[in-house]
Amino acid sequence: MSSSTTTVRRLSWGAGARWLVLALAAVYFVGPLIAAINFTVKTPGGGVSLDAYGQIFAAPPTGQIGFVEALVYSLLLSVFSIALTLALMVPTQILLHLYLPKLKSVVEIICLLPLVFPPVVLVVGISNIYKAVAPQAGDDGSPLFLALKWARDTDHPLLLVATYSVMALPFVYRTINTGLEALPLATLVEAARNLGASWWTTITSVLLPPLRTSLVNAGFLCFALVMGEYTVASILLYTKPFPVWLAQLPAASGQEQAAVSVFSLLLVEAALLLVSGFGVKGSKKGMP
Amino acid sequence: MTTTEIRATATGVSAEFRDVRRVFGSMTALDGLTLTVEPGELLALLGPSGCGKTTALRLLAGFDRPTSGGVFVGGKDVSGVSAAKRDMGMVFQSYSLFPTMSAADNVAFGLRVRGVKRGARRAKAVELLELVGLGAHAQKYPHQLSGGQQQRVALARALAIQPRLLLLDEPLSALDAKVREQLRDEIRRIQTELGVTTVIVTHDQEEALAMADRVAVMNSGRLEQCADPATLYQRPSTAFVAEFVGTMNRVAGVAESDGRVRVLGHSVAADGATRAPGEDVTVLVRPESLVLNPALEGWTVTASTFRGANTRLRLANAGHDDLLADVAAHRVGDFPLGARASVALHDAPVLVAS
Repeated sequence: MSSSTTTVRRLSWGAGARWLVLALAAVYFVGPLIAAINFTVKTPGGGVSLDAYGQIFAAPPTGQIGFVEALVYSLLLSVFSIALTLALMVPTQILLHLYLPKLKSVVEIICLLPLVFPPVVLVVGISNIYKAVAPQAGDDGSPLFLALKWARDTDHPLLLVATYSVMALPFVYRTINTGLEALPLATLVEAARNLGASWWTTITSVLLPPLRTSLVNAGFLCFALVMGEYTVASILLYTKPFPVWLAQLPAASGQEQAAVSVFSLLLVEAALLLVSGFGVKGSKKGMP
Repeated sequence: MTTTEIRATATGVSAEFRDVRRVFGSMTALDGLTLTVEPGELLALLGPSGCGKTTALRLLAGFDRPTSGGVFVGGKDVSGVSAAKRDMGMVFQSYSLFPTMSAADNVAFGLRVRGVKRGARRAKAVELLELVGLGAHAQKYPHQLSGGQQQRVALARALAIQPRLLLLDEPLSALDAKVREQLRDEIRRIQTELGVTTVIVTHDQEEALAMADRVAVMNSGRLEQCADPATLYQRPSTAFVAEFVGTMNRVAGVAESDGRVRVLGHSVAADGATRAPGEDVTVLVRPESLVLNPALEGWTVTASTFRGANTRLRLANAGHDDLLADVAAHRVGDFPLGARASVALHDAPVLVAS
């Protein structure tokens, strides 16, 4: 057998294996989705109906919020969490790469801690801090008590955003770190500073544009975390985040619950594709 | 904006290091450097790796502060002024173009930072890109340009802000030989046209000698000699300079009276350390200062390297260190491998190694 025939056969086997893996992955991911969609549209008589999807936008029971409100709440929650995480991590990592490279491993370990501790441990810790501080401070009108009380108020998501930002650190750290490692950071900063740019201009005009793909990826991971997070929101008594709202739907309407899940999944996927397209388009501009 | 207009605003200023020391932990990078760059000249900082030349340039750019001593530009101490406020254009070894900006945007960046309006900075960017021969590549991104083109854009970007000083940090070392030579001539042409005071750091002596008005040779954080290329090559003041700039033979000799030495059987005038008559000395002689003649005995040709206009021969003789000697192309046939030759010296002063 000639070597070219062997190569062709090896290539065709390789291509075949790739298609097989892709097919298996597709079945694994798409199979449950198809089953869920099938469940939501089937009627007891064996027919097909979209009634369950119509119920999604029906008026919610008194005292509860609707589908759209819960979804928007979670979307905003994720936007604020992404903003806070990036605002913390981008300057920190630039500082580490430029001036404190020896501290990188220390910061990395700290950022990876949320992976080691399950969310429930994190949220119990947060609860305990509030239990320990708030009752002792008492409703004495002191600035400390008022600040704690305000932070703990479930009418706004400050505490939740802060907690999610901590939980997102492992993913965001790694993603931004990879992006920064690929840049000649010191030279770019020196070139910009040499041309008279302030630090703000250097970061926003010179460093962030080539980091766009990393930032979008970091945002994705943070977004996925927030949109699916139930434990922390539930234990901290937040009722508006989408996963908590979904769990509160009457158990009897299983078909409606499934319809809400499918519909929200498709919405989120569409949003991700939109943002992904933006990220790819941006990264293509001027990048090899 | 024409070249004349650019020149009118790019006024040449002087730069000066006054007894500058820079210490990193236990390592002294600069040890009392005192050096003046005259207005409008191109000065090369030349030396081996670790000699402190890049540290000196970074101090001038404002990326670092001296441990002691002062850096002066236009007569003013700028040691405490941040890099962003020094108005200096710098070209780095590793291109350093902003990857998500087009060539024109890269060139216009410094102007944008200075609040120049879009139309004006656009026009100036195009003008400068034409000055460096890249007018047709204004909209290309760095990854679409070759290394040489990227360095031209970097040069245009550095010039766009009408810098008080132009700083070049080994700008040609990442380029291949042909492009390096072209860009070297181009930098020199533009620098001469604009009259901007320029400091270039390089470890390539050929580059320094070809480009600079004066060359400052550095060694272990100190300045060995600062002179024009011809003086540096022909009258090096130290053995380090003599051996770093060009090629030198070390030949045993004996000191004579009246500042002369006897070397290779000839009495010649000597520069460098004065020695007592009769003292053994080591004399530094360039390959082109040796005169070869065919002989029946004496030195033997052991190797030959073609160098275009001349050929460099390696000569061996029992009891002596090998010599390198250059012979003109038309005489190479007289000295095939294994041939014998006598060696004499041109009548020019030699340097006695200290």
